[in-house]
Amino acid sequence: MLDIKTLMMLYLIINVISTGAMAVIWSQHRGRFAGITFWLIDMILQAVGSVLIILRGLIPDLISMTVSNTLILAGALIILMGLERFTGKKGWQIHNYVLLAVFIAVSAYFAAVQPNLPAREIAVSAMTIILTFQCCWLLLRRVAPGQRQITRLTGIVFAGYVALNFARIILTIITPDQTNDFFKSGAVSALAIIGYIVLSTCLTISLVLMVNRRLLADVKGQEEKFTTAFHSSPYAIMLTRPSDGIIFEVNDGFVNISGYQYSEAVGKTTIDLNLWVKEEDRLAVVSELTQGREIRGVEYQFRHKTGRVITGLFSANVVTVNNETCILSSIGDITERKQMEEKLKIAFEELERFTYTISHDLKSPLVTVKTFLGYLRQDMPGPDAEKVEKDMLYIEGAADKMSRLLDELLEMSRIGRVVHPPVMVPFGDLVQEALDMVAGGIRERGVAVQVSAEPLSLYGDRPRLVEIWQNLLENAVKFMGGQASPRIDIGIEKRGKDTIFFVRDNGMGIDPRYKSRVFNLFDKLDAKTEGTGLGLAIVRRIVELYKGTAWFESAGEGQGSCFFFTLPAALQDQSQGESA
Amino acid sequence: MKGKPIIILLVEDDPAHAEIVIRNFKDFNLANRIMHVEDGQAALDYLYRKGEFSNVQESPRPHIVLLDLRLPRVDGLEVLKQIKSDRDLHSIPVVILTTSEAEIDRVKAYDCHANSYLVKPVDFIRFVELMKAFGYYWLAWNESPC
Repeated sequence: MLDIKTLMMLYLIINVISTGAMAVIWSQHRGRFAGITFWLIDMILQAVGSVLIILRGLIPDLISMTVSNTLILAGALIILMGLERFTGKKGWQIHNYVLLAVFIAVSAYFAAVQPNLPAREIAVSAMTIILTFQCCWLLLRRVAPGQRQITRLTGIVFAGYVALNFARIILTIITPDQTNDFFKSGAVSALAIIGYIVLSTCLTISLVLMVNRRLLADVKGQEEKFTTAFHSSPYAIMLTRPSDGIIFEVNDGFVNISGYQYSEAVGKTTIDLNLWVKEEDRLAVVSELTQGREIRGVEYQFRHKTGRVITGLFSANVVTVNNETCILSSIGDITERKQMEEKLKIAFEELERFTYTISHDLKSPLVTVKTFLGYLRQDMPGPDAEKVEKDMLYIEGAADKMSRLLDELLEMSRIGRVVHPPVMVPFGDLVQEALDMVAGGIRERGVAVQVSAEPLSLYGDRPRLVEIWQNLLENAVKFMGGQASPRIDIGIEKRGKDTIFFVRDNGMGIDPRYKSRVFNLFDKLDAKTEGTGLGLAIVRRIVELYKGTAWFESAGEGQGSCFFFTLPAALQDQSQGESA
Repeated sequence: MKGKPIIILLVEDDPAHAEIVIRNFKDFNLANRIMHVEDGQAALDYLYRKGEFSNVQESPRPHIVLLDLRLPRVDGLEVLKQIKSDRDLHSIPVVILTTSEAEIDRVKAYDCHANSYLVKPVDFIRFVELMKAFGYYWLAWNESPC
């Protein structure tokens, strides 16, 4: 037979150790998880309660009996409240307060008024069952299914408490030896205390494990959160070792932007991947980083796996992960933005030239009109009819010029917009249509026109395409100069993969010095010729709409000239022609 | 100086504008010789006495150049640059006469050492006034370097 007092001492020691263990857990995790303070209070109450029991006989019975048990049960209630907070299932405790009050009354009655140990023991056990069952129910049933893995073990320990106390009540009732001295009570109490010792130990361990499991789950959740953020970032992110430049981690954004798969990038250096277009950029970045500076949103060029050049907004800094220094860099792909910017810049420059031209070229005929109207007013009353006629001619000429300018400006502004739906047109038809439009000039000047037969069709805005040849033909006729046997050749040349259209004449030719100005808006090379200088600018714009280029070759003045152009978008697979 | 005709080289691609300038000089009896060329290349050929301008009697050195900016073949600014960087020609006063009020043209012209910058007025009276003032200042009051 084990000595109850010895067992109680053992129980006290276990409680003190548990309190110490819980104090450690509390000091580390009280800020992270709610309810741990309640657990510690429970442990302290349990220890104080057992001290009071051990001191029975030395202190007043009411304190040793009722107060001690009340403390222990209050502890059980507090741990229930703590567990509710820990699991986020805080509930009402009024019923438990009432029960505890009832228990205090019952316990005091059987301690002071009518001392009865078995009755007190049954009361304690019943109250313990009520409280531990609530803990058990909370941890095994009330918590969210995903959380049960964390709380299950502790729940089972509480189930143990319930079972132990049931057994104790039954054994207390059926065991005949009745005594009012707890320390002399028999095997049932001894077994009960041993059970408490075991369960108390288990409870402490299970609580510690529960905190651990919860920590692990949280860390895993955090990791998932960061991994998701890392991979779903639109930026290319990579982690490299500063010592040798080896990449040891990249995200999905890197795979998308660089074209390299994870397995192709990890273990290599950016030099292996040929990622930097300019080596000096890479060296500048390394130098900045080694001097302890970080790089924030600097524009560099990078090379995609396919060789395509990407403009990237680059940031990098040195970070320490797990005591290891590494370079964290990210690249945002701004290639499209840059291209748009470039296009916008070109459009803006054209607009600027346009407004400049308007202010100059349109003003010029206005000066003429106004001035000669002034002269006309002076000349009209006089006898000189010839002078009046001359004034009016100048005015008329200026008005004509202005009207022509306005027409062509309007035409120019129309080019960018699709006016006609794209169609397939044979090359020969386009050229014939253009020739029909300039037939007057050709007949007048007696130009021999030679068109080579080409089995080629173009896809695009028909009138717009015709306009290219029309303008080039008008140009050729206009600049025939003194050529005795004027001649124009129209055809196609193949240079590599490119199909090149040409319009060649044997007229005045163009001095190579004016090469850069030929296609400019309103730039005329000869003051005496008709026209506004818009013809070749229109050609260039249409050609550019079909993603082509236009240029000319001429051996010099009097040597004739040849205008070339490409129209890739009109020759591509037909579905894409619509973009033009 | 007085009595000796002042030779003006007028570089103007618009025949109507050239007519206005020439008529103005005639109307104010500023008895001068106006040599008119229609583009930048012709202006340079004249100054360097090339091609059709090789005869010194027919193509005398001008006392002043009246230069438009937007010209066929060689641009007005280019003509100005060439004149001002030539040891022999740079002392000839060059007056820009253009329709352009654009700041960029004005700045560029003075950068290339233009001696004056005049904008053709849209108003008849003002144009006449301008030519009159130009004539008195440059052809009567101003002492030319040669």
